[in-house]
Parts: sequence; C-alpha cells; structure tokens
Amino acid sequence: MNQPYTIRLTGEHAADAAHALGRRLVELGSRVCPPGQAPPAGFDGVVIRLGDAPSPVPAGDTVAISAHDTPDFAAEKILDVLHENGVISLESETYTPEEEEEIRKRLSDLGYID
Amino acid sequence: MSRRLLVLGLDCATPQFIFGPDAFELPNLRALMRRGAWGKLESCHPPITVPAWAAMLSGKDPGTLGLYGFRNRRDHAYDAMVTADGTAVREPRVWDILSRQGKKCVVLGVPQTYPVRPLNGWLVAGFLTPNEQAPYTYPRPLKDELLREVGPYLIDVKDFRTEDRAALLKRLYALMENRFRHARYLMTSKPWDFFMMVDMAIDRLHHAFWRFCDPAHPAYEPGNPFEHVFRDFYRAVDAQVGELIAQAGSDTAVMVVSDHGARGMAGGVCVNQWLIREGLLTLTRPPEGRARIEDCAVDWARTKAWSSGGYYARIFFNVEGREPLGQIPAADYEAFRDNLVARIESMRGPDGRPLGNRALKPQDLYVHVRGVAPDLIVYWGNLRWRSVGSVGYDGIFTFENDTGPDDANHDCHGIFILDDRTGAGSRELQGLALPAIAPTMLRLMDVPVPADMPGRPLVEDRT
Repeated sequence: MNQPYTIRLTGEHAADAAHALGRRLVELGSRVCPPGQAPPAGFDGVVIRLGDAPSPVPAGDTVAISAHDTPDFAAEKILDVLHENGVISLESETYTPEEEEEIRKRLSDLGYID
Repeated sequence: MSRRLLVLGLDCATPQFIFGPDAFELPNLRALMRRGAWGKLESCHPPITVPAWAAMLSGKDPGTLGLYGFRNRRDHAYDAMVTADGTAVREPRVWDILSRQGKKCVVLGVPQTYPVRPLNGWLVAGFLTPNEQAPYTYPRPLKDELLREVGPYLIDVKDFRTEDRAALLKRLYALMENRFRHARYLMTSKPWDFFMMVDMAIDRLHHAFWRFCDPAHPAYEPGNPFEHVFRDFYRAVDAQVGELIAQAGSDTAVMVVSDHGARGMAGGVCVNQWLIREGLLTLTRPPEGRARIEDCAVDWARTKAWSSGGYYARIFFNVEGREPLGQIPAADYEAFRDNLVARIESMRGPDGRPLGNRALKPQDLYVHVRGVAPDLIVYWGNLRWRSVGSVGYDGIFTFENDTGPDDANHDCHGIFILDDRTGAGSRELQGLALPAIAPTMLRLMDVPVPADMPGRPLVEDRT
C-alpha cells in the first residue's frame, strides 16, 4: 500500500485487540501507527484508533470487537477485512504445485480418483 | 431462547449398520433415534465426499456448485484438472450464513474447508489440508492452541493402501479418537451456537475392511480375524458420540449425518480401455504397462471421448468448437450422447449378464450446470463396480487394484438422525435427501432459510 489507512476498533476489548493487531501487522511487514500516537510525516501504513479518537488520515473501516473474541482472534478477523479491502496482502493459501501433487496422490491412494 | 445445534458428520456411515435389522448395538445413536427422527438420506450425484458435503451444507446441488468430483476441469483444455479445495465452494455454507447472523460457530474437519476462510467462530480444516505445516485453522493462532492443549491434529490416515490391516486398523482408531478429542476440547473451550465436526475414519474403514465383514462379498472368509471390525468400530464411534452429546448438554439439538453410504465392490470397469475398444479413444502408442490416462499420449484428432475414474466415471466428449481438437460436431452432440448412454447401459459383465450400469446427463440432475461438467456421469453396476481410469489392462474388467486393497464402493444413501429436543418421539422419515439438510440446520437455529435453497426444512418454524 502507499496510502495511509485508518482502522477503527470499538468495543470493550478494543485496546487488547489493537495491540494484537499491531503485532500481526508488523509481522506481515506493514508499518503501524498504534493508538494514541501520531503518524510520522510520509507515513503510508495502518493507523489504529480506538473508538472515535481522531486520526489525521481518512477513516477506513470500523470493526466492533466481540466480547467473545480473544485479542488474537479479533486481530485475524481484522486482517481479513484489511486484505479484502486491498490494504494488506495475505499470502495465498491455495495449493502450491507440490501440494497439488501431494493431494492428487493422496486422493488416488484413497480411491477417489483413478 | 435460541437453540444450539451439534452436527456430527460421520463420512460414509451406512444405513444398514445403524437402522436395519442387522444394525449394530449403538446405544447413543439409538437414544437419539428414540427421542427424534431418523431415516436413510439420499446423497447427491455423484455420492462422493466432494461434492456431497458441500452440497449438504450449502443446500445447493453439485451442478449449481460446479463441483463434479475431487478434481474438476478448469476449462476445456485436455490437461486442466484442478483439485476442488475450499475456494471452489462459492456458495455460502451453513456456518457462513449463521456467522452473518451473529451465531458463534465451531467447524472441525469438514471437507473442503482448506484454505480456511473467516467465520464467526473457530474452524479446523478437513482432510484436503495439504500437510501438518499448512495454516489449517481459523483464526491462525488456534493451531498452536490445539497443538498445546490437545496435541497434533491428524489430517487423515497415513499409508492407507497397505496389506498390514492390523496396523491400519490401529491408525483408523487413532484418527477417529484424535478427531473426537479435538471436538471435546473445542466444545468446552469455545462459546458456540453451532458446532459441526466430520470424522472420516468410517469411510476409510469400509474401503479397507469390507471383504472381511460382509458375508456377501466374494472374498469373504468366515472366521477371519477382522470379521467384527465394523461392529467394534461403530460401537467405538458411538461411545465417542455419546460423550460429546453429554458434553453439549441436554438443551442442544443433535443431528447425525453422513454424506453417502457404502456397499461391497465386485471389481473394476476399465472405462478408458472400453472406450479404446469401442473406437472412441485412440492413443498414439500403447502404454508400457499400466498408466494413468493423463500420462498417455492421446491422439486427440482421433478421439471422441475419454474418462476420469474413481468410484464412478466421468466421461468427457471431444466436441468441435469446445475442445481444442474437437471431433464430435456440435450438432451431433445429443445423438452421440444418447448413443453412448445406450451402449453403456446395455453392457454385460464378465458373467455375460447385464451389468446394470447407469449413465446420467448432468442437465437431467441439477438445477444449474456450472463450471465444466462431465458429459456423462456413469455408475458401473449401479456402483457395484468402481471405475478404473488407467489403461494397459488386458480386458475391460479387473479384480485387481493398482493402488492396493479396496473392497467397497460408495452407495447412494447415507444416514440422518435428528433429536431436536422437542420430545416428539421416534419416527422414521421417508424420502430424505441432501437438499433438506442445510434448511433444517438453519431452521433449528431460528435463522431464515435463503430463498435460493431448493430444499425444505424438516422441522417446524418456531418463530
């Protein structure tokens, strides 16, 4: 991405989810501006905001964190939202050619294909 | 109060072992039947794991899903077969619909759930997960949690094609117990409204041990050491089912389903060998020994039809303007197809008697025919014979299996049991079929049934 993006989290557990989300985004190679911090000049990453806290970059999505979700789980759901909106790219998990061959052989062994 | 629903999927669980006069003693399944409704469940065409579970859980038929088997043609090229993974299911399944309604879902081991997709809950993918290193859970951290709390997740049984049946049987028990152990952990550690698991072990058991358990099988030997493995395994599954139901609580509706059943297999029909003999398939040179049709040099300019094998046959036509080197004029397509249906259905077996084949046109089976469908779906001997796609056999019929022992084929009926906790009492339902299952699940969860699901729920609307 080359445009900054604000993801807004709401709900009782939003702060915990924001922490987990920031960690995962960094793991995925994204730049992150956590809640309460101002993005530096030229920032082109993801700004995380809690509730209606102000953000200098245009609002993107707002995600309500379910009370049933663990922070890690909530973070994964938000990553999917960001992926679907083109903000980040998650690796494709369809079969590699090697996996496709592994599956084909397994299906043949099981008798499903011949 | 909204109900909870537990769905136990037992791949290939077969009516005769659960409902019939020869049914095994299965106290937990029997208790569900006494309290609720039950019956034989007609599968889809073809009655195979893929597409049957996806058809059951989306409420759409395989044609509408564009799924005609585990591997489907991506386009009309001759070599473009791809595995139907989770991304191939483009219609929402029950948990997708429930997630949108805010219901918490746990999904464990259901076929065609890899690669994993988000849902409102937790998902562990099924046996089409490529390997243990793959990210097979949603959310991703669930994988580490399961490894820590339950132990390694067994995707499927290893080394299935073996003559060492005793060792295989141990692995099948391990597979089944592993799946239920994961289920018990997820059931108690996650808040859920909808919980579904599928266990594959019964399917593998039937294929590996049918000849030992079925006195009608030609290779059956009385008093063999595996004579009672079906009975014992079904009882072990029943005990696991009982434990899970008890954990779910008495207010939880319970459904037990299978995607298809099983029957003894008489042998194999070498479909491409037959097409060669009929002058419809030509190879530029004969194979050296046995060979998959994909590995053979097909003379497409002199070929009108070829087939994929498995438990049933999918026959593809080489049509002008559709395939790259099409040989059947489009105007002759239906006449050619009708002629081939007649030839297939009049085929005689090795004993000279009619084989009882069925050759089905996708357009006669499905609401829509999407993707690249086979031109014919064929059940040899109405599924008493498997379909051998490889070539290099001496004749049309074979009693060998290149990949190792397999004594069972799929059958068109699976099982359905529902205890919806209304105390309605035991009743056998007739005419059950796959399209009713997804609407019934949604109705049990008090969620509206989408208008594009053709099946009708089996329970009354409570809202």
